[in-house]
Amino acid sequence: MKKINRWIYGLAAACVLAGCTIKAVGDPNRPITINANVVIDIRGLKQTASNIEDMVAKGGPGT
Amino acid sequence: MKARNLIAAALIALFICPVALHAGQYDLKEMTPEVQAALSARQNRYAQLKALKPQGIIGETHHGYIKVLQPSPEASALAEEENRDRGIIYRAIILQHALGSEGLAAVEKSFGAVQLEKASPGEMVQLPSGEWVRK
Repeated sequence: MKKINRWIYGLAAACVLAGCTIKAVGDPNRPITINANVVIDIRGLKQTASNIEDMVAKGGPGT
Repeated sequence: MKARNLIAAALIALFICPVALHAGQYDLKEMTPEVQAALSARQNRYAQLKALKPQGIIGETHHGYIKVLQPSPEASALAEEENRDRGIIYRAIILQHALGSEGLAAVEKSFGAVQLEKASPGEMVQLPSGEWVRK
């Protein structure tokens, strides 16, 4: 049982360490192109916009 | 068995937490001097802009900027300064959240929608269709 636990801990540590690094090897004459898709949460953006506009409206002089 | 469950839970949390933390959170992470100056200037300008809106001199576009509808030197200067400061804030959000090339359009659209919601009755606003109406 202890041996299994040691293996699990080792695997978990390896996953954590390896998960942080991505290595790419390729031909320098043919650079690798990665198309990253950024998912934007419009509801979150609207919440931020609302917060900022409230701050602008309430923060002016004499308000 | 308990240890295995704990490790499994930790690994799942490790992969899920970053997604959960970023969901819907686009507030400015850092108040740079430029952003702070833009926000302060907008606060100081707010009452002047608010006074021009019911007269139909200026209106809110559907992409988050001020448009001069009845040109005058005062209104044009105010709109130009306001739009410059809004641009600073929009770009700061995009940069601080790495929203990429599509970020600007999304931020502008979101601010435009919020301006439409927050506009008072009688103010000129542009609908998403592009049509100008008095709210």
